[in-house]
Amino acid sequence: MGRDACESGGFGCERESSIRRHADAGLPDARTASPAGARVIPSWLGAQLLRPPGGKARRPSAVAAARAGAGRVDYVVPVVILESVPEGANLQVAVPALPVTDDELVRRAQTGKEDAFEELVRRYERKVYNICYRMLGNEQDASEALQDAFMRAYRFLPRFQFKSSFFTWLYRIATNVSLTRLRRRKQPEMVSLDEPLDEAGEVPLEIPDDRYSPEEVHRQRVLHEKLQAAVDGLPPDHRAVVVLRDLQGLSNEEVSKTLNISVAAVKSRLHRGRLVIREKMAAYI
Amino acid sequence: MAERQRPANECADCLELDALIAQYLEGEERQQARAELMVHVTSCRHCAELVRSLKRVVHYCRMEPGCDVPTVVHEELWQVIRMTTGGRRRTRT
Repeated sequence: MGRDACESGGFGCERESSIRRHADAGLPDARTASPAGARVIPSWLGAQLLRPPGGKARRPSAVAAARAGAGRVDYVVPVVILESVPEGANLQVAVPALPVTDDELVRRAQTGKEDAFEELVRRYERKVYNICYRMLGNEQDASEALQDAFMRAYRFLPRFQFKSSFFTWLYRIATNVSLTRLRRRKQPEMVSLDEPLDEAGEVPLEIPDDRYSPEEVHRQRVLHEKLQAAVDGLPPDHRAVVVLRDLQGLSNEEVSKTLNISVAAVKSRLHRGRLVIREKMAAYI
Repeated sequence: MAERQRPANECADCLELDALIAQYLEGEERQQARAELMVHVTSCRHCAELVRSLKRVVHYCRMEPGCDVPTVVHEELWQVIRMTTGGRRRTRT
């Protein structure tokens, strides 16, 4: 969570002897505090720490990992401990809301909290779309597979037993949905030769990015297209491994869990898949 | 899938090194095996080219930026999601 997000809300003020702050927040040094009057520590949190006179603060060097439950943790926040705070002192502490883990969201969704499921969709929409797009090679099929994957996830979420990460479970659904669609394809894809038209019926012109030369932009585009074409040419089982491992960046173990195959099988398919891609891209690499 | 075609200039050791090349690309090879591979590629042009081009394939794949979900696709997805979750909410209330 960035500074802007913190300042826009999501923090509650409460009395307690610890302040959780980000490691890079630049906490003011307590030793420079004025002893007279309540000390105000300007905070990027958009809140203030009011500290009574005489109270001592310690700035710990250690960072406490705030790991709430299992599953993904987005960041770790340090903890500042105030010592010798007089009893009854008025202490207001800004505490950033910890990110909710996937597992917690799944538990909430399993109890019928629809907002929790929607948050999971928000987190993984892009990743799942990329898996489907790489597996299927076009936007239309990827769009349908994306919807299908999340609908299946919604339907089967009550059966999720936390034996794996939520994301490997979700990626497995997305991969299986894509593989099913691939196997159903009986005919090669038809490619339209028509240029896309805009609302005015004219061929839209692309605006080049000035940061790159036209040659470089063209080279990158050709590479992108050739790579996707090479991936499209892989057998479905090999394609799934290459997409998850090399294009989505999962580890061999994660791919193994996602596809429910051994790590040795992942490595074998990956190597064969890379060899095929190499052959198909020989002129471009 | 068909086995990798064996080029005419490929020596007997090359195919045995296939698994080692795969390990090398994953950074999992042992030091002795790595040395063995390095010795081989200095004398075998075919394997040197194979390793070089496979490293490029991996590089290109990993550098490939993920695409954003197109607006139309995003909107269609959320229409379906909200119909599903909203439908359940309405049923419960």
